[in-house]
Amino acid sequence: MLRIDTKRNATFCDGMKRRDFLHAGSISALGLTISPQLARPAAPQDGDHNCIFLFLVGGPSHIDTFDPKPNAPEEIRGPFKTISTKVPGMQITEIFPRTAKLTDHFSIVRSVYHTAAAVHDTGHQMMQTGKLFASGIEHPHVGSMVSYLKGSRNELPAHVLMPRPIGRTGGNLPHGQTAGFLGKSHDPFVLNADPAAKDFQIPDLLPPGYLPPLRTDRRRKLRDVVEEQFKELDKTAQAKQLDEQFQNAYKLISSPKTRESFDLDKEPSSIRERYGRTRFGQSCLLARRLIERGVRFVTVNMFETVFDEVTWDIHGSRPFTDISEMSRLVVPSFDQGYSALLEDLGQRGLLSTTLVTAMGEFGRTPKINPAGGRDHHPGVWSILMGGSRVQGGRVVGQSDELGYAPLNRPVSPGEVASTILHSLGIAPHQDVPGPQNRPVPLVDYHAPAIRELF
Amino acid sequence: MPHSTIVAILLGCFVFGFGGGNLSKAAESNLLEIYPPNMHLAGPGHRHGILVLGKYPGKPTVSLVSKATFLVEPPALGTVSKTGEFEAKTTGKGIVRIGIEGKESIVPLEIGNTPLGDKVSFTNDILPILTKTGCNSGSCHGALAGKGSLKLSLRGYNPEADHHVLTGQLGGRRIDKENPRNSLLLRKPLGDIPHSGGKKWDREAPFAHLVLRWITQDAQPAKESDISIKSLAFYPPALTGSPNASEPIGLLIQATYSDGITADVTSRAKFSSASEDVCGIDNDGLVRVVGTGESAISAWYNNLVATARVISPRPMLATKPAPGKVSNWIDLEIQTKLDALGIPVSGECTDAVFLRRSTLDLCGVLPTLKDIEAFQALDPANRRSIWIDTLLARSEYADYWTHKYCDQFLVTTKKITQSAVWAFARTLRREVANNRPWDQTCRDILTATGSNLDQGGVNFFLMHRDPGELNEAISVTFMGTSIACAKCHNHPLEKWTQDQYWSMANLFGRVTFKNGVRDDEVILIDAPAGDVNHIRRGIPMAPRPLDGPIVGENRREDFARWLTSPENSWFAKAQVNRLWKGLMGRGLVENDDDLRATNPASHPELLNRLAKEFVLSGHNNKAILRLIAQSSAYQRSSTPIGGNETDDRFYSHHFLKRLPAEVLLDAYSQVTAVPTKFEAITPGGGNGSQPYGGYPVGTRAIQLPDSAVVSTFLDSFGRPERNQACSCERGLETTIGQALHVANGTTLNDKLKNKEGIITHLSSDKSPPELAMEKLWLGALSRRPSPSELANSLPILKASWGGTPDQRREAVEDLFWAVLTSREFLFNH
Repeated sequence: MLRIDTKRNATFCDGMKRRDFLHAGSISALGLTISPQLARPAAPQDGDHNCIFLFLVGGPSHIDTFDPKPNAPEEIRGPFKTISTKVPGMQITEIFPRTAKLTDHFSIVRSVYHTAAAVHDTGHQMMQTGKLFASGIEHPHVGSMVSYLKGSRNELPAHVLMPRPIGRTGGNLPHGQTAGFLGKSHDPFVLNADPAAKDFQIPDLLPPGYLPPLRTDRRRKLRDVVEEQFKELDKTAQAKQLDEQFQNAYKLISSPKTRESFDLDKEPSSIRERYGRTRFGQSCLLARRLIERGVRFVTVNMFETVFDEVTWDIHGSRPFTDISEMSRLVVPSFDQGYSALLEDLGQRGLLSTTLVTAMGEFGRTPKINPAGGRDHHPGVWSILMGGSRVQGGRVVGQSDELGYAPLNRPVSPGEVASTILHSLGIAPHQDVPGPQNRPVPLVDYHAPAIRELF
Repeated sequence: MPHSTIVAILLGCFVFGFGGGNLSKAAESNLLEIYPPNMHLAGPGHRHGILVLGKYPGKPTVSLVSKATFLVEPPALGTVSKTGEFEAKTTGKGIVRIGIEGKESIVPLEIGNTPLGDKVSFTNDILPILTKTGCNSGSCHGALAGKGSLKLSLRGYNPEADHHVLTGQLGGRRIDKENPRNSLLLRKPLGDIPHSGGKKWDREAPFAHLVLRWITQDAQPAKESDISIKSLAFYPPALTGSPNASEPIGLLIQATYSDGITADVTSRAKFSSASEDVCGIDNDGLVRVVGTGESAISAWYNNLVATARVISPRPMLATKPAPGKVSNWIDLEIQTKLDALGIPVSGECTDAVFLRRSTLDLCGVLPTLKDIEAFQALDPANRRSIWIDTLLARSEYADYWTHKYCDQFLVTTKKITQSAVWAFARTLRREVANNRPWDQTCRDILTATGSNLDQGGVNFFLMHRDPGELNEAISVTFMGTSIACAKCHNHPLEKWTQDQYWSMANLFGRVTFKNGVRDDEVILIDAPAGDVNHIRRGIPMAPRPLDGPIVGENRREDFARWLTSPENSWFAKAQVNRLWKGLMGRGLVENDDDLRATNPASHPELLNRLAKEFVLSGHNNKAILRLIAQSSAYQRSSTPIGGNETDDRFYSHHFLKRLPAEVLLDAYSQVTAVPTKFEAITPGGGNGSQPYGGYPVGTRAIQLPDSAVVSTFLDSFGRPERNQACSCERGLETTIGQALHVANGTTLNDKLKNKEGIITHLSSDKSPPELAMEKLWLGALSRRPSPSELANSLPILKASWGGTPDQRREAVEDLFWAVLTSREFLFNH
């Protein structure tokens, strides 16, 4: 049995046949058999598209990943060979063997750049909000824009961020992972837990472990008694709003669906293995589970800091890592998690309505430094976008011969934000109430969506 | 804004059916209003609208123009159309005589000798057209990067550049003086050739002709000798509407120029409505009322703004709603508005609610059991008044309001050192505790010099080293208004220009710093010379506060004196509005740091009078707080009654406030008798925390001078970061995360489990379960449990009282949890 729900796929008009074909193909690639009793939740049917935003914190080197320079001198070319991929002419480095097989599912934009200070934090702001913060005003994360405009579909929040928010990355600036001026109600719901951990549990989602069900029931019963006195105030808008949030929280706490949504043990171990038993891999898997159950936007931070762990931030010297360590310690978990996510979404018929983006906050210096690493380089870098309305197998823009700057079609962070919104069917330049209710466009007018991707 | 001259005469002769026959005729008479008060047209060919409006109490304003007769004297001066539009025919002086049903009114008239189309002015005529039709808006050619190849300044703030771009660039194709009709400036918007923005102008529109005339007249730039716009008037200044009215209401916008000429610019102004749910206003200035309530409508023309109010009462009831109790003049002002809108008033709140509300609002703490006893021992006739005075004298008052000012002044180790934070916070607390006149406190801060460790105010300048940032922080903090937009271009919603912004920024151009001898010490010195350059002009502007006079050598002192002088209404209004919001839950101007002409107060007279009282009281914060707290408006019940449920700005019932983060955390500590520990800070705005031992156990959250003290709870409940001078930083929304944290998180649950807390005593077998309930209810909700609460909760407790000590304790913990997560607890109501 290959298909669980044929009708669901039939609702997607665009590219149906190709995806159907892929579907059959990739199931065997996974080497899985799916039993009929493995009931899946009905994917959201409202026609709205979703997004999984994989944030490659630290800033992957574009030359060592998706913009190889095989003809450049060795100190620029780096240690990796260039390989061909599923899509003829679309080449990446050899360290992404799984991703290479799926290049028809996504496109590469090789000419992204920014002009702000070359620190992580500025890139975090711009890539997630489309804007560099000024005068202390925090622009909302794209996922929070979606939350603000669309609201949540069910008891699950509209925007979930995992595993944790970005912490220390040196610049001491905000990282653009909140709803900013749209207000705390639209901040992402933050997991604050590692889905790959053995005792994975989301803090505060469930009553403290020491409380038996008898007591949690008693607490709610007693609370209902007190709440009864407040009923007469319910007619006012404010009381209703607080009630709504609490009701939502209680729904989250008590609904079996919530527990089920966050319960990775419900996934067959073959699937969990396929994503990789890493923090990033299991986050990708959880992201898929949540999208399937109605969450609109999931942000996955591949890393939380660049200091206490081995990341894409390959300066070469300690506490950072160098190019070869990156290929051994960082790349495989990405290659595995990312490719599994694309395949899995494709098989479930969700890829055509789910945008999957993978990007860092900048690229890295083309010339390898004396420590065997590469430093921050916002001059040009590459990002991946696939699924939803974005066409696969394309390369947009080029960097110059040595990977220093865009050769053509320069793409600003604002254009990336517009592209995400556009793919989700949201007009990127519409005004929302900004600080002090002044109208602010979601993304600046001069940053349109990247048309070549659609 | 020009003085509003209302030509109004009493009309006894109108017969319009009133809803109820019992309204007092004397107080609510019908009025006839005629606008404009005078017309001084530039010359023959110019037109000017005349409004003839009938106003009836509680009824929509109607245009009576079709019933009016117009007589121009001498007749040669011009004619008036049936729709009330005057067209000038010849130069001269005279009057327009307007007759309506036996009454008569006169509009003085003067016509100059510049016929229509003569001397078309780039700034007075062409730029307003480009603005009105959206050419230089932020989404078109006014964008930072322009659109297509054309970049204009946003809403025409830079006429010199715009003229150059239109006449000098693109090989002169935009303006073709040889063949004006061939100019791109006409062909593009007329749709003659492809235009990404589409067809924007109608060929027959008067302004298209005007643009053509301007090009024909050699497309002259703005000249020094040009007349300039002086004022803008919005007629009528107030009108009543109804969603059921069949016709939209027309308006008149009149501009007055430096040579005394007036022009009807209604068709060239841009309009907006502050509350779209009450009324909308279209591009032609037609008002359509869609709901009930009140809204401000604004007209923007040539960098000036004029506003008017639209009131839409609830449908008249057969009997007028009973007015609320009047305790002081505040209540009269509030009631006037409620009457105009036909909104009924909720009754007085109970003593228990008053006690809890006032103690939270003035001192930021819940009343203790002792407070409740003390209050109840007071004479019922005046106990509320005495209680207000008691609260104002408490040290918690100083803690609470110091915290608010620390928010306002952005006190945080993210920006300044720990010792500087203490210096600034201690200065503020001393001022608050002494109730020092607010103008003196602010003058001291603004003119502080010397060591930041001795003079707390020096730190204000230390935090804002960028002159622009400082400029914006000062306008928000001390004047309650934001001028940030004007940094790069003329303010699109306000009258502030870029020149004014940089004139004000230059007031602080001589503030310099050097390191002191002590650790963390910085010395502020006023340099003898130095200026801040205008960002676009590259030269310094004469130092002057927004619309104040140019200052002398002692720039900061002169500014501080201007700021706090009784003639400057910004300062007093900003402060009383904040005090009002602190107690009433909503500012008279909302947000409380968004004072501007286009965002008028819900009760302008009330705000003016409060500001006046504030000045008269010697800028006495406590006096104003006392006045507000003593009003019946403040002491109203928050329970809505039929007809006022949706009111969120007219104070017909008290508005709910969620307890602010710090107050809520302190309330948890107080009710459970388990203090919260504050042991670490994240200085420098970073994410890494470090231990800090400066807060002994028992320090309340509201006493923390620093927003960088580590606390997940405070972050989750919207503690402001103190990055930016804006009251919007404090989050008062409710979120799922908060609900989850309160219900399941460690903050509350750990306090419940703590053996040192009050639960240990209340769950002792020597203490009856009734006592546990009573103490909890009084301590958390300031009231005793209701009979139904007793009936439904007591059996659960009693069942556990027969069990083990652990079972007793668990039952009391669960009861505490129920009360402390309830909305009645989380809200100040």
